Amino acid sequence: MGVNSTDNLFIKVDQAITVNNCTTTTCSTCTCSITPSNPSAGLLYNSIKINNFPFAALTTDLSYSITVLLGIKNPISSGYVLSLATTDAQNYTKEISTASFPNIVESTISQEIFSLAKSIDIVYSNTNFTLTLNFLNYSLINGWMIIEFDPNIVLLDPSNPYCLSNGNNNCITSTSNGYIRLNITVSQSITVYIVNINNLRNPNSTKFFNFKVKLTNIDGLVYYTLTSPSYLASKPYQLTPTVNSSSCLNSQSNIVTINFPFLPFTPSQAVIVDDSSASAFNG
Amino acid sequence: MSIKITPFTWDQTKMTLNLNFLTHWTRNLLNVTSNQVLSSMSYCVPTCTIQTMGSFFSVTLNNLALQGTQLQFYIYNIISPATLETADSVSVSIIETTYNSNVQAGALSVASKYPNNLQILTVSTTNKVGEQVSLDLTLTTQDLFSASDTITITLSTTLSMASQINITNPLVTTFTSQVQQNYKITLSGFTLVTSIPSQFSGIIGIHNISSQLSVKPVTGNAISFFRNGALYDQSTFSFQVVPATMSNITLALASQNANAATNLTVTV
Repeated sequence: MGVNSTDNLFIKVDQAITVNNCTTTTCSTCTCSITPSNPSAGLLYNSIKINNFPFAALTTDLSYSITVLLGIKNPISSGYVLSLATTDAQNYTKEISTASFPNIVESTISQEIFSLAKSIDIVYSNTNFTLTLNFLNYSLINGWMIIEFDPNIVLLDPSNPYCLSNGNNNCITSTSNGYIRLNITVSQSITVYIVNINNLRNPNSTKFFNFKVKLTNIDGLVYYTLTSPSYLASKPYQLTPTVNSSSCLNSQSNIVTINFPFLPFTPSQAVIVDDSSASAFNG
Repeated sequence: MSIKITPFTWDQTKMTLNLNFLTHWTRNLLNVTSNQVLSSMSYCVPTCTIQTMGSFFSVTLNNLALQGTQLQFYIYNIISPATLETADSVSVSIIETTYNSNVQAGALSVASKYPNNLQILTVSTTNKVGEQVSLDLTLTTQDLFSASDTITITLSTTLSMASQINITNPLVTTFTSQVQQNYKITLSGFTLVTSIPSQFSGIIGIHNISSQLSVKPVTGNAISFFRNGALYDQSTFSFQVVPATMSNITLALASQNANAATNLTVTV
């Protein structure tokens, strides 16, 4: 750019990008100031002004390069453009340009913010979940938190769900393709969310499961994603079979009939553990 | 008795005569003749009789309503002189009706006060800050243009002007140009494709004007058309270059994570 000491360099940054501080790293005389956006006054961008360049006014401006370091908070999506302009002391434009803000990716946040408490820890049993999400070290935006359950967890009465967020009804429960999905209202001023959802059924095995969490702005743009730690229903489903024997005499041939109760789910395989002191005669 | 005629100027459509009489005058007729051109809308206040006399017209006022020793009347909607020349004239005579004699007469030259504005004048340039400037003045004169006319373009004295002028106008085939004192351009010696009087309508291009440091509008420019040294069409104009384009801008983002606090490095 071509500037002299009375000129200004302006960098306009969309209001979606918070600008906290500004320094010029390659110009010792330069100063940098920030005018924050003010939507109520129609100012939809943050304006960064750099001036006091180290050249006196000449008939032809000297070409000059400067590096500006901005402390910012990223937007939640890509596609933003910075506008740059140099002006003279009377604010008449000299040079302009635009530059694309680098692409933004969804932030994956630490699973340590997530915890689960189950009222019942037995496979395939009715239970209630309490999910706790603590965003103390993160910056939230007004919008939504979407929690998607493992498909092996079933909502027993979808037509009458029970879901509270911090004791309020700011929780919408839905099921789609067998997944339970919660839509919870998020406020940027609240950092801890305790979600109670009742009338669930644990998975039909002790296989691990987890939760997928997304945070979006009010328009549904995702900015944080999280996969919870893995959990399981640690206690197996209790089988209480009945056993009938054709003979009760020692060392006699015997036909043992084991009657299992009806299983409410189909196991992928079954293992019968025999008494180690018994022996089978026919397979 | 004598008549004192106060010189006046044409102010678009209204002519005012101030006649100062040294003695009180009661019965009289006032004749005013002018070599101007009447329009169909011409009339006087107070009421007069207007007669077309060929190349001039005559105005007669009866029973003058004198106020003290002064008479003032207006003639409206006369076509004003084509240029600011003072060749046009008005003559006034007072006739004493009793003896039907021309007792006193006076004459004065008249001139238009303002030139006509050019009907169309647009100024365009696409040059950027730091580049030499080329201007296209697209214009149409209100009055007829003649090969003997002179066009003067005066640019702001803040400019350091250079030399190349061209005209894009089917009417003009050749002309001469002169640049004086780096801000004044004179165009003359026109060769026209036709002798039929017509308006000047086309583009005058001015090139190699000194570059500008910003888009601040450059004011204080004018283009004037002269005939026989007298101004007849004129317009002022300003122009403004467009911003230059910065190059070699780089942005570096320390973290691309959404909604994360980070540093953005901008190098310009």
